[in-house]
Order: sequence, then structure tokens, then C-alpha cells
Amino acid sequence: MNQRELANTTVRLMLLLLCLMLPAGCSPDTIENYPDRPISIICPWSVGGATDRTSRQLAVFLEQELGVPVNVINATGGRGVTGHSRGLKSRPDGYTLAVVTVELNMLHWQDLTSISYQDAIPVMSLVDGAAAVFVNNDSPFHNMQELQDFVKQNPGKLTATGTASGGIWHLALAGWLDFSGLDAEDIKWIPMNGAGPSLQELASGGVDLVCCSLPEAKTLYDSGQVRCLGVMAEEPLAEFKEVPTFISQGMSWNISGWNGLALPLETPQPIVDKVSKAVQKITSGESVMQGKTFPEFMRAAGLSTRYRANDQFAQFLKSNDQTLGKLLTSDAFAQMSSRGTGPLVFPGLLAAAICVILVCLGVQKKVHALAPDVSSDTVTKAGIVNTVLVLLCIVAYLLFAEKIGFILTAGAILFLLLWKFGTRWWMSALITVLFVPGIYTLFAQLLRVPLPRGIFGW
Amino acid sequence: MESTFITALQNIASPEVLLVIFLSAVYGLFVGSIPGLTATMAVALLIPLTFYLDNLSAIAAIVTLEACSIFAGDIPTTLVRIPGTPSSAAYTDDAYSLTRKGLHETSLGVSLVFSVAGGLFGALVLILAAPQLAKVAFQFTTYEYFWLYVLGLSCAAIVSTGSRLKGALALMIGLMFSTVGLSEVHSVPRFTFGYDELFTGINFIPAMIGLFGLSEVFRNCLTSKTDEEVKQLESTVIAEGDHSLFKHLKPVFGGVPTQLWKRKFSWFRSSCIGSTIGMIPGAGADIAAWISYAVSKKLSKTPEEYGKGSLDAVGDATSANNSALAGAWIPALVLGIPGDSVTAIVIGVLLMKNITPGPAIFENPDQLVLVHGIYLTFILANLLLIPLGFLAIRSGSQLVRVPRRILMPLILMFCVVGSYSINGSYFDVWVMLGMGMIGFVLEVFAIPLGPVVLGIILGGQLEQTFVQNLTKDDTFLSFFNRPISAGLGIFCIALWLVPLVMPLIRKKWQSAS
Repeated sequence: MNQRELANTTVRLMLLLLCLMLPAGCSPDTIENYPDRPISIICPWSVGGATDRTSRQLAVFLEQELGVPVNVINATGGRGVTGHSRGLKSRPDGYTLAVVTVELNMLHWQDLTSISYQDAIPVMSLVDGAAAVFVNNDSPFHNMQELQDFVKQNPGKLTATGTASGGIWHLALAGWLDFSGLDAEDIKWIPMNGAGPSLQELASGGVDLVCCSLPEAKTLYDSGQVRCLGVMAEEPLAEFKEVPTFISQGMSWNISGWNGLALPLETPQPIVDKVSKAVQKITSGESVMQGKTFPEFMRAAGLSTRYRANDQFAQFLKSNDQTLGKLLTSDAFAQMSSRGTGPLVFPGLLAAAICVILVCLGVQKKVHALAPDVSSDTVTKAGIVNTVLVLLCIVAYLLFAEKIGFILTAGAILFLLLWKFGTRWWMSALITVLFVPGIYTLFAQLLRVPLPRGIFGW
Repeated sequence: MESTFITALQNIASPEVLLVIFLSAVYGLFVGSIPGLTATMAVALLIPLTFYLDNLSAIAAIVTLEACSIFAGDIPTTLVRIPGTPSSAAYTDDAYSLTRKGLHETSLGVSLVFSVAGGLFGALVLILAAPQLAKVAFQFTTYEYFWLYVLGLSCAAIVSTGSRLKGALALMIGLMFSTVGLSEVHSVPRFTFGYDELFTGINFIPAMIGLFGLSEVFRNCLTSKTDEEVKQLESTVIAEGDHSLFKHLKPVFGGVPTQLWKRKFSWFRSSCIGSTIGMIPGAGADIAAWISYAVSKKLSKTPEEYGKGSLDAVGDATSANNSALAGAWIPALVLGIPGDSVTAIVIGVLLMKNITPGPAIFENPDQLVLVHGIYLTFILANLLLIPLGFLAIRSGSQLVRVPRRILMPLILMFCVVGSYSINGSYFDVWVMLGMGMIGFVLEVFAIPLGPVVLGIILGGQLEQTFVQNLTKDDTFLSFFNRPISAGLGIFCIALWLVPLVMPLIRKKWQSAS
């Protein structure tokens, strides 16, 4: 393609992209303007789960109340550490809201993070999910007493799952065992990645019991594939009235998972107030969307809600933290996750396999076979310079993008590379000016994917 | 049953639904062809819209998006060697080799038609046999899953061109990378060196972008390919004055009819593999693509071409990954168990609209209409993919004509932005950078990249099932105590041992005779 053809194509592209370029707002953030740009809600659990669905339902209503786009970002992993850290340690400007869950009061007791409820400004609690025990429909157990008797006689024989080791449902079941005078390890806990896979395992006959919340088991419960032996709540749940509580079976053991909305600690009070007011309007049923209120949507999804605003939520967090802390630091739990296949077994096996393979390769003298492509082309000095330049540019992006924003950093890097690789400077400038704002519009505005914001706001 | 079907047909034929399907198809093609944007992310972005749409439009949008984006992932795979979806990593080498020979449009044409064919097959399986096949989900416990992952990973290692040992090495490297972070099953951080960001481990999308895309950028720079002028390639030239439709269709669809006829049985086989793997919850298009590729290579009469630009390979793998998509809806609709991350979202959307997936929806007439509407959408979306995919191919192919000195910096920028956009995290860009350098080094030593990516993707689950099984029962023999797990287990072991043992047996025979 010669220069003229390239110029023609570029002119055509320019006209096309001009239609796509929207000016990015560059006014500084003030409290009076809040909110004047999109808000992100950080959800620590994955898409499709109960917490995610709650976050997204709330986001849609908040968007209506606050008048700006509200996006949910799933920052998953680390049993909730990633999402909670990201949410609560983000810039306290009111544009990042954090969904907090019961793990906030558990992870720091388990030495997985230093973050606790004291790093959050509580806004509103949303869902309370009491733990429940499920069995497959062909199981011999029909109530908790039968289960307890069996475990007394056959410790260590039954298996259960519902979440990772040390997760809230594990705590629920092990806590019940401890409370009943049994050993916390009398039912073997198989760690799994959440309620969904756990229930499938139960239905397939891979485990004997599952402990999780009722809404998470709704589909299999409604179809009769699994039965519920009891729910660890004070009163039967409104959506599942026929399920007996543990209390009604003579065991006063309650525990629930929960989630709610919070803000990072240093967020200015006026912003906290604005957000709180909006959320209260939503949870009280004042906000209506498609003819339904938020509580109605939640009920339709089978999620049990319990709304505690600001101070009430703060008090709940404190007492919940202490309750869970007492459980987690008691003798019964101190040794829980230390038995079994350790964390270094698998990497150890892999390392051994790699050594074996390298030895075999060495024996076959094949390690140094160069790929045909690279050996036939020569590495030039100019090539090395260019490659190093590319590396430095990426590092420069990583260092500067947050401070001076995406458009300036990416623009500078693109221009530099284009020019250094041989394109004339005016053509490089043209391409840069077309593509960088175009990409910004595409990702940040059309697709609502976050891009670094610098001091100018873009 | 007939009446619900007719009602569903009438519902689909409404302008609103058709418009939604069309727009989702475009959106899906778009999202799929940009590396770093996944179908799951795109579907998650649609969720707020689903509140305003009626039931059928909402689900139809998601179905169309899925079907189109998984094909669109083949476009960057073929043109710039960055897999748009993880399932395209299986045939990246083949597709890109074809581009280098100037046959990118033929490759994409085959991709398109075989994708559509695979998708239609998957849809048929869903329509005709969903309730019966859903029960497969209840045959799979941690034991079966363990061997399934081993099978998928083994297939990736075995099919690599060149040394099988190097394929295994690549696999181990990928698995090692997957161990970085908080071990889900132990709740203990590994190899994080105190950095909080490493808790989540290494995300496979920036890793994939880095391994394939960035390393290619490095290679082009290092060997000064950026100075090259672009050669005019035969197949892309349209003679002056000849603007007939046929001339435009020929580069893309020219090779397709012969390919389809030649591979009619292997298409059927690949689609079966895809549907079977897809209907197992948690196993999806990526495993399906690799297994189909491996089977295809084993049964091929020209296995030496695999990895160097085999259209057979591309066709087989791509039909498998498309048919796997429809398979994932089988457990989702019939049992409410998600087959993959997209169906997990769909179940959430259905619950929000007061529809509980399960046997009940097949009995309730109103909900059955929706189910039939979903079936019809699958068929419609795949058919719509043909013209839209063709347009996408034609416009995407222009990329090949852009000089490398301009293309490389642009690709670099997309790599960086794509990696950042997954989680809005700089750490992912570091991962991409690191993986780019590692990918470059690996290719110097002729170590294949595909198994590395699959290792990163499946490593966590492989270890989890490993630990879960050992927790249930300490003995390794328990891994074989259920019929399906025993069968899969023996097959996997044979897969590795037979090629090692056969030469020895043959030698013994020869020395004996």
C-alpha cells in the first residue's frame, strides 16, 4: 500500500471516527456536582451468583435514582479478598461503591487480609441468607436429629460441601457440630467453588450433605432433586415457609451469610448522605421500575432481604464480627484447614514432572532446537532497539497512565512508536489523534469498561 | 406442543425481537473480535437492558451474542495471532500459518461455515434431546471431572507439532502459573510474595494476549519485519472492473464447498464431541476445541500438516467449540445448573423474571413458549452469522494490508488496553508484559504456547478436583471407583503410555523375528 492509498484510507477513516468521537468531560470532581460521571460497584463474587444478582439489581435502580450509569465490576478471587480490598481501598470520591459480604468479618480472623469492617462506611445491608442443610432426595435422613444421631455413631463417615474450607457455610456446619457436642471434623468437608457446583455434586451422589442458603438451591429444591433438613434461622423464611428451623428441631444454632453496600472509609459525609438517601428510597419501595419495586424484584428471585441502614448496619457489623471471631479463634477451628493434601503438593508434583521432562529432553538433545522462523530471520541491531523501546513504552504506560490519564499516555506512546518504526511524523500524529480518542470512546463510554483516569479526568 | 412452537415462531417473527437479535449479532461479532473482551463480559453488560426487554428478547439477545462472539474470536486469531477466545487457542498456529500464505480469507471462510454448521448441530441436539441428556450432569462428580480435565490437558499437550515432550513441558509450565495466588481449596496464598494483587493469581486473558500477541509483536520488532513492505497477495486481488457478487464471495467461500464435502464425517464427529463436552457443567468450548483437534489429528491422513496451516484442523476444532455452546444450555434449562459462565447469568436473569429453570418450565405452557423461542433463536442466530460473519471477515481482512510498522504499535495498544479492561487492573498489564517475554522465549525453544494457556485456564480446577478426591478418600485407587471415572482414567493413562511403550514393543518384535 503506497503512501497515497494510505492517506486516502485514513481520510475515510477519519470521517468515520469523527462521528464516534464524543468529548470526554474534564471538569474536576466536586461534592456539589456528585454524581456527574459513571459509578462502579465492586462485587467480590462472580457473575450469576446471588451477591452478583443483588448488586446488579441495585445498580439498575441506583442508575435511575442518581442519573448516571452504574456498572458492576466482578473483582473475584481470593475467597473475597480481592473484591473487598478493591472496593474498600479505592479512591474515596464516591464513584466506587463496595458490596461487602459476611467474608469481611471472617477473612481478617483467618489472616488472609488486614481489611475489616472498620475500613468501611456502611450504607445499607441487603440480603440475609441463613444457612441450610440439604440432602439428596434418596438420602436416609429426614430431619436434623436423624443426622445428628448418625454422626454421633459414625464420626468421619459423612462428607459435606458448599463452599471453600473455612468459608461461611463450612463454619455454619462445623459450628453446629461443635455446638452439638461433636467434633468439628466429624463430617468431612470437601472444599468446592460455591453453592452451584456443590449442589450438583450432591445430586450426582459425590457428597452426602450440602450446607448453603436456600435461594442458592432454589432450582434443585423446587424440582425435588434435593431436600432441606433445616434452616439455621430464628424463624422460617418467608419464601420457604415449609422448611423447619433448627430451633424448631431443638437446636438453637443460627448463622447467616449476608451482603450489603458500603463506601470506602474516607468518603466525604455529604456524598455518603446522598448515596444513603438514594439507597433508602430504593429499599423502602419508593423507587419503581417497570411497575415493580426493588423489594418485589428481590422476592421474585427468592432472596431474603433485611435492610439495616447506616448506624444499624454499623452495629450489626460490629457484633457479627465479634460472634464470628469467637467461633474462628476457638480451639475447634484453629486446626481446621491444616490436614489433608497440603498447598505445596500439587506444585511439587509439577516441579518434579518438569525436571523429568527436562532430563528426557536433554537426553534426546532436543532442547536447543530453534524454531524455524526465528533462526531463518536475522536479529538486527535496529530490531533490538525497537524491541527495548516497546518494552519501555509498556512500562511507561504502567507508571504514568494513572497520573496523566489514558488519552495522553496512550497517545504519546502510540505516536512515539509509529514514528520510530518509520511512519512520517505527520501521519503518525494523524493516526494517533484518530485512534486514541476512538478507543477511549469505545471502551470507556460505549462498552463501559474502565480506563485509567488521570488528573484531567480522562 | 405444536401450538407452543407456532406461538414461539410468531413471537420471534415480531420486529422488536428480530431487531434485538440483529443488534446482538453485531455486538457479539464486535466483542468477539477484540481480544480482551469476552462474551461473559458482554453478556454481563446486557443485564441492565434485560430489565426493560421482554423475556424472549432478553434471552434471544444473550443467545445471539454468544453464538456470534465465539466465531468472531477466530478473526483476530487468524489475522494477528491473538486468540479472541480461549477456545481459538487450539488452532491459532494453523490459522495464522494460513494467513502468512495469504489464505486468511479461505481460513476464515472455513471457520465461518464450520462454526455455523457446528452451532446448528448443537442447537438440534438441544432441541431434540435436552431433557434426556441433562441427566448426564448427574453422572459427574469430582472424580469424573478430574479425569475430564486430564483428558483435555493431555490432548493439548499431545497435538503439538514436534516433540510431544515439549508439549508436556508447556502444559506443566501453564499449570505452574495457575498455582500462583490464593489456593481456593486450601485458603492459603502461594507464590504471592506478599503482594495483594497476586491473590487472584494470573488471569488467563492477559496471559493469552501476552503469550500470543505481545510475543509476536516482539518477534516482528526484533527481526525488523516492521521495515517490510506488504506483498500483494493473490487471493485478495479483485481484478479491475469486475465487481460481481461472485468475485467478492469467492475469496471467502471459494474453498468451502469442497472442504465441507471432504470433511462431512469429521464435521459430524467434531460437533458430537462439542455437544457432549458442552453439556457437562463446567466443561465448555475450550476443552471441546482441544479434544476435537486431537481426535482430528489422530484420525487424519495428513497429521504432519496440523499446526502448519491445516484447514481440516481449523474446521474440526471450530465446529466443536460452537456446538459446545448450545450444549451448555441443556443442564441450565432442564436442571438449573449452569453449563458455563454465560448460562449462569442466564439463570440469574430467568430467576429475576420469575421463571425457575427446571422440569417445571417444560410443563408450563407459557414458559414452554419461551423455551421454544430460545431454540428458534439458536437456529436463527447461526443462520444470521453467515452474512454478518462474511461482512466481518471482509472488513477485518483489510488489516492484513496495513503495513506492519503501523500495525504493530496499534496491536500493542490493543494488547495493553484489552488486558487492563478485564478488571481495570494494572497488574493484568504486568502479566501481559511478563507473558509476552516468556512467550517469546518459549517459541525460540520451539515450545508450543497453546498448552500453556490451557494449563493456566484449567490448572486451578485440576488441582481442586485432585485435592477434593484425596480428601474424600486417601487412596489413588478411589479415582477409578465409578464407571465413568474409571473409563476416562484408563483412557488417559493409555493416551500417555501407549506412544511410549509401542516403539519398545515394536523393537522387541523386530529383534524377535
